[in-house]
Amino acid sequence: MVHTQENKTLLGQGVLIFIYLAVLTGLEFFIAISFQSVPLLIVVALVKAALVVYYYMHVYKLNLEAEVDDEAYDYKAGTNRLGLWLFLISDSFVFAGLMAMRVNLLGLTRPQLNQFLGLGVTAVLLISSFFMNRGEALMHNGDRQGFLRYTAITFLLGLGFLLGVVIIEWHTIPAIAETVLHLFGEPAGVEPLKPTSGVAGAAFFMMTGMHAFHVLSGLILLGIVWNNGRKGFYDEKQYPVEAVAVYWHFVDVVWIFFYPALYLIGTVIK
Amino acid sequence: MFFLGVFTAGWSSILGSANVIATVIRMRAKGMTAMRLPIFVWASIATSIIALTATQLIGLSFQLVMFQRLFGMGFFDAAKGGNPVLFQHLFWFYSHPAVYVFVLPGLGVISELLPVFARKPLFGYRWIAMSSLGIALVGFTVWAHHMFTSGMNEYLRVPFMYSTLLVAVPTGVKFFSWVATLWGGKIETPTPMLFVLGAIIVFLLGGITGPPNAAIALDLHLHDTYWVVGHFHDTIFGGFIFPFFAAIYYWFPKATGRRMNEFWGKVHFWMMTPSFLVLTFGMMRVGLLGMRRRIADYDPALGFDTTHLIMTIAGFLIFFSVLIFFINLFHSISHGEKAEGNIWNSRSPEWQVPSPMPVHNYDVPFVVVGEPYDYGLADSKYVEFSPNGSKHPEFPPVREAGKYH
Repeated sequence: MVHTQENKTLLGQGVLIFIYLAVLTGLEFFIAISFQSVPLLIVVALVKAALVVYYYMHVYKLNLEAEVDDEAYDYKAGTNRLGLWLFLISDSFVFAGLMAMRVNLLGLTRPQLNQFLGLGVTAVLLISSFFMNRGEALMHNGDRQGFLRYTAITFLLGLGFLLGVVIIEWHTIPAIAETVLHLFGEPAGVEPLKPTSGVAGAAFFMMTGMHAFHVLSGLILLGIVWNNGRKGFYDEKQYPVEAVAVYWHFVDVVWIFFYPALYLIGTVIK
Repeated sequence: MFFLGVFTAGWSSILGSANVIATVIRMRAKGMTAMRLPIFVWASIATSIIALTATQLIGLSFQLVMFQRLFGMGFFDAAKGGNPVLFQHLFWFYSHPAVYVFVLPGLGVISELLPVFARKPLFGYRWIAMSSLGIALVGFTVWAHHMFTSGMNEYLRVPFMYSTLLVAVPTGVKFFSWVATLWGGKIETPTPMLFVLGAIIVFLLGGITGPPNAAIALDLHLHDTYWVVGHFHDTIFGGFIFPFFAAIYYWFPKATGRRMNEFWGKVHFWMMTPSFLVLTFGMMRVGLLGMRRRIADYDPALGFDTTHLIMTIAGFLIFFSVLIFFINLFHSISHGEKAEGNIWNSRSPEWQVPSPMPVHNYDVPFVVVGEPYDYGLADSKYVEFSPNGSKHPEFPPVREAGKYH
């Protein structure tokens, strides 16, 4: 693997992109409470997604040239990279379909949800993306300990996101959910959203469920990569690290669109 | 269980199409530029684009139905505020492109076989290649033309009418290119070519019965009648079944080293084609008279009886012709006439190696040095095999044996 970029440049880039993302997420929140402007929210989400796709998922590494040296590792990795992107294109159609369903069923309304919890899990997922990017960059520069550390942090943050959605937001364990929601300033006695309670619940559970399923598979892949890294793999053949990182960022990109769609757009259904 | 079967099948078609696209992009032979690909490959790319993306929507729509039934989530349940028409939208967003998944490879086979048997360059190679992509892309924008009578918003009707009529443009490009390829060619008519010509004629019928369905004013009357059934059978037989038989007769020697019986092949064709035309004309006739689909019984006074009797006889004739085909197929696998060389005189690389394919299909990597369909032009060459005889500068170094996996 050629080390074209120094660690410091990569670190600087990763931090800068993360700051952009954080600022834009704050802006999103601000737009939602002050203007309720749907076009602005769409623009901000698109900018965020473009930043992640270009800098964290480095889509520019895609190589569409036919090459002859079909024994070289770089060539095989290049073909796998193309395959991964084709899969992501395919997968994004599921999420696009869910989004179309949400627009059709809910229009300019949204389910009754705790805003601070939503912002919290979004922040957790964005931060995990930053650490994933750090882990991948460190592995490229041969820093195995750093890679293991940052991948572990990513894993824990991802787990936090998953539990935050599945346990608290879904009320699967009501005692914990109510305690945490109380901490986030939820008044007592609010009826939690149920999948059977009308289209808002159905759409919300379907969208978060599909996304949580992808987060879960991403966590499993992260665990595999972390374990293999611990055993000393990926000195030369680093494509698996990159693939898992790109997949993790993809899950993040999906949430970049789902977060405003579920928490920010329109008026609350009572 | 049914839904899980759909998921498995959808998953396999997604992976298959990713494989096709990645292979075409990354693993071409030396000199195989995009405009020198066999035309069937272009059709496969277009098909794969559809299968890669649209398939997800059928999976999603079925998953929503499954969750609605299992957990009572009210996506399509109007009592819970859901929207039943939404299911039709999600379903047809896949299912309309899906008929192009049938048709596009068939049209690719027609374009591939025509120049071989007309002994003439394929007319408008670039246009045919691009029209395959055009059909695939326009196919994504037409789904709601299945839903003109479904109660969807009326303002959606006109845009979908225009996008549907737009499909006729790339299809027409293909059709006129085929006619121009045939013009002035030295046409040979072995069985595969008969099926290709049959496909062109039947597909023409399917094509010209299409635009009336797209026009909203007519469709409100024609929707769900036998007219649409006749139109659909014409396009699917012309775009899929006839080319499918042509492809089997054409590539059978490549796969087995024997060819199928020519006489029984021609019997198959001459039995199937007239009966098929009678069948679909009958369908269109009763459809225009007002016969609905999915109705088992009807009043004899409506006057459909005679036509239906003729259609039934024609349908059974098609059945027997296909039976002849299968007997011919299984008999020829072991008893057919030996055909080891390039029996159709094709320029395509797969015919330049022995039939049936050896284990390493291209033991010597080949170089593409010319245009694929320059049949009948003096001194033109598509692929060059011999590494020693060739002075072509782009020839890759010959590998030592045993490096192929």
